Amino acid sequence: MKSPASASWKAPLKFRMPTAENLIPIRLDIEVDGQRYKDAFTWNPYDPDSEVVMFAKRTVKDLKLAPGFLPQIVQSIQSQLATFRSYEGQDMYVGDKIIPIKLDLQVNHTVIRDQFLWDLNNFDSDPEEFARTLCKDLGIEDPEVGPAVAFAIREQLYEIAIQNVTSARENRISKKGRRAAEHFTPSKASGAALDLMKLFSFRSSVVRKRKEWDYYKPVLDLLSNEEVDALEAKEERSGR
Amino acid sequence: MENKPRHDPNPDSNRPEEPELDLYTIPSYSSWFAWNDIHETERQALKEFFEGSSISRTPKIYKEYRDFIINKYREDPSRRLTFTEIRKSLIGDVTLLHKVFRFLETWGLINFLAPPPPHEGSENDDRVRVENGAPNGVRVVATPNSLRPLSAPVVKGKNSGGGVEESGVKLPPLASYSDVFGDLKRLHCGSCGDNCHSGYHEYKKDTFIVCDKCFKNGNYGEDKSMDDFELKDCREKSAANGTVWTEAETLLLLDSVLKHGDDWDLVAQNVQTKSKLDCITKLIELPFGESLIDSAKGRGNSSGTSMSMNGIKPVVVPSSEDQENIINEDQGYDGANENEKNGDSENQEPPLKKKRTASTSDADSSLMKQVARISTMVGPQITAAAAEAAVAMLSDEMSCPREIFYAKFTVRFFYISMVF
Repeated sequence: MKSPASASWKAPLKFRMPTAENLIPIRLDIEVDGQRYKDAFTWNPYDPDSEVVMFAKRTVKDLKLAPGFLPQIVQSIQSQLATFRSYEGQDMYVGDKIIPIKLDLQVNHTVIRDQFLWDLNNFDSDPEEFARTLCKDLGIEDPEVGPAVAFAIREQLYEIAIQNVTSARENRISKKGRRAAEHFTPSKASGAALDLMKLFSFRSSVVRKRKEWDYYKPVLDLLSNEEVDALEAKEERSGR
Repeated sequence: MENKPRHDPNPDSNRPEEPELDLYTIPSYSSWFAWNDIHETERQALKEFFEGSSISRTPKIYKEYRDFIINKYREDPSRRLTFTEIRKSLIGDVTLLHKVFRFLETWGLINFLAPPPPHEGSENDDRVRVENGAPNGVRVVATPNSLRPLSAPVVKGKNSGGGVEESGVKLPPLASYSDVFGDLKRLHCGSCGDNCHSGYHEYKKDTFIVCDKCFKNGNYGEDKSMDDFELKDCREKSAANGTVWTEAETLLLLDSVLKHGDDWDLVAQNVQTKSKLDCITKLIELPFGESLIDSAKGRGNSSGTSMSMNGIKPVVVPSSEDQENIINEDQGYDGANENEKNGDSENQEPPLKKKRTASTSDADSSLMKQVARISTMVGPQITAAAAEAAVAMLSDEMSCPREIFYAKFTVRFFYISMVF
């Protein structure tokens, strides 16, 4: 029977997204000549760099953006890719970590708030599939909601993964060696990780108390046109 | 915990005399399921819980998930339980929970009696438009009843006068063989199987025709009456084309076809006095017309069925050198076909043969020997052409891909021609 400490210690993994497909989230928020372009999508970091330019060109063309957007889009994507690559090849200690993922997003007329748990060690995890199921179960018809949900999940996972790398680096530097890795506690990392010992102990049940159910289920809101416009206007003002 | 529901793995059992028991239906292939146990099926499908790899994944935890989900469904079996509904109540990784959920659903332990998801159908309808008619990428072609060859852009190449033998700059217009000839070829009597040359009677209620003979004899099946048939005279049809062919024109036609294959524009050009349609029609009427086209195309591919030996009429053909060659070649086909088919060495239609062969009806000889002997009498090209035609016919008959056929049989023919 393994002791809990060694059960949670895992050999270091190389930095990657803890999902089945190693896609990274890219965010764009560019303003040129009074036009503002905001976007969020997933990117395959193994695509050749030429794809970035092609994508930017197509986007400018499809959305009829001013040509000044082209270099900015390319540059933004490339710098985010560079950030990702800077972590690549580095060790990340994941341990046994389940984190809460929170959603709070507005996509067109739909507002979603949600909370659920995600196992960073589960490399079968698939944000897109989760989003699909969510939209299906809730009967969401707007096809833009699913991808937005998946993106939000990916973004949070990405953040955590990066934090895992940095804290692994710190651990090494502190020269405590292997023992430090063994004592790698969740509190060292993002702090968002759950105390698995408490949650999954033999005596406790994995069924939540009823009063908690409402916190872990998605809350859906549909906005009217006016509300959507109002929100947009507010956002633009705060963005400037 | 709620009242422990009884589950009945046998979907057929109905015990109305015991109403106080709750019966839940699960499919018979899930009869392994037991509340107080975890079956091997579950261990295999959800290995994560049984490998001791994490304190968040244990058999106890699995069983809790499973029991909760099934009980939740059974609160109302007529309602479809969704994943989103249960995941709020369970602590654990959502991906893993979803896996458990899908496992239970696949095995019918949940949602077995629930209606299918309502949105999938309508969503698909919204997103996918069902269009009637052929997709845009598929061209709609003329029905096979039309005698007109299908129009296709004719590529005018450098050698506009060139024919099939020229290297492929020019493409002949697309005229599918069966489309052009289909109507006339298909005139087989539904009763006796003969070609209906002299008019046929078409059943008005269905696609069924009988030849004149059968009609008169009443051979068209019990459920049909005389009145149901409409007379269609194909001879009239062809005569209605209003063309009379002189010998010279016919000769020219045959010549052109040999030269230009199925490029009807060129053929009609050559013949000059007759239209494209007339040329095609005339050619079909000639007993060897179809095989002529095939040979001119360079392939022994005579889409099979119409080389009916019985229906060949003796044809008065202008005696010229060209004609003789044509007929000889053709008889070469027939000869080889015949021999292949039934081992006879003599052709059935001696009057048609211009080049008579010495009698080879030596029934004692093996087939191969006979073939060998015949192949010595004609030039190697004719042997080759005959072999190809035979292969085509036979492979059509046997529905065997020609490649296989070639591999198996043709080698022998060529070997023989070379040896002798």
